[in-house]
Amino acid sequence: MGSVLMEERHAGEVSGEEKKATVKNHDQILIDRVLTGDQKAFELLVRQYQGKVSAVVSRYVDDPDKVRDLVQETWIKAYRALPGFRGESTFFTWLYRIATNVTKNHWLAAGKTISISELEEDIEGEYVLPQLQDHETPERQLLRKEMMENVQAAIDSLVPSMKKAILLRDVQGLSYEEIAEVLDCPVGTVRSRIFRGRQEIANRMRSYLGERGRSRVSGNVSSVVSA
Amino acid sequence: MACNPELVSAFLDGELETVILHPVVAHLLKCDHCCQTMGWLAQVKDGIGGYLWQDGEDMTQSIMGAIRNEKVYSVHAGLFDRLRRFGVPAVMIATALSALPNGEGVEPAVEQVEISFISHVAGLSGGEE
Repeated sequence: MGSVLMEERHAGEVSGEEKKATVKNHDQILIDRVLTGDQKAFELLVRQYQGKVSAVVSRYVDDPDKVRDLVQETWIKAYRALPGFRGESTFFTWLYRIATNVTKNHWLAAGKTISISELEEDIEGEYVLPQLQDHETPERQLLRKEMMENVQAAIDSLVPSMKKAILLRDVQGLSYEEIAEVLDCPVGTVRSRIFRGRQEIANRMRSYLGERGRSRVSGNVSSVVSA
Repeated sequence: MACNPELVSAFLDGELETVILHPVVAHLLKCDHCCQTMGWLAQVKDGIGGYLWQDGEDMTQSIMGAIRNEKVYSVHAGLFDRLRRFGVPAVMIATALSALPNGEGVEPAVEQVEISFISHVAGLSGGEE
């Protein structure tokens, strides 16, 4: 594994004029595969964005089971509509619109209305900025608060260089190249710090990631250590 | 290419250079281990960004199960049922639903679907008469 990394870093240094592929390119490769009938490629898109879709829906729907249904409906609609995706927006922006329409339709079907502008003003490109819901039950608010405090504690426990890289990427949304400039280190180091930071946070968040997530995290820790 | 969670993490960030992007995608498509790694990394990334979600693997399996079982047409089941209650023939509803546009990111709200549907049915009825 280490040798693959070295080869990749070397290739990156040699082909300095090589343009960095964007998130859009990354997604488009998967979308192209889905359109040829590759469902595994769709699974990768699901894994990548299901949390963000869930964040969008759960801002307006309280019942966790209903959120789950609406998230699933969003993905099914996306799968059906994918041949019509023309790549004029990012995949997530497109997905976001489907999710908001599914949510709107849910409320309309229940005979209630929800402010369209309220839904649409949330979109901020790649990033959704979820907030605590006013209508959450006290128990859910408490659980969410506890979870976020644990995330914060996990971030705070990182060594400063790792913490900076993680925050610049996952909170401020800087590119690896921009982070490398800020931290005055190679892009490969940034990538490594971000991955190891996420890994350490995952290990501290085991109880929140579910059984399969826990075993998966453990598995990856051992594979990285052995590498 | 061997499993490399660091590259999976960079893929999630859209930060892989072109030279390595295609090999990583090819690996992800055939390696369940790395595919699941991407899932938990996405969970952690979202958690750091302010939204920690749970049961990611279960939700993925549920969504993919629905896709694999070709339940995709059930998404209009609610609308289908409502129109059936008005006595509209099932075949006509199915024909109309299949003609609805699947425009890019513009999934119509229910009332828009119904207006579109009514226009479509009116067109069909007119033709038959």
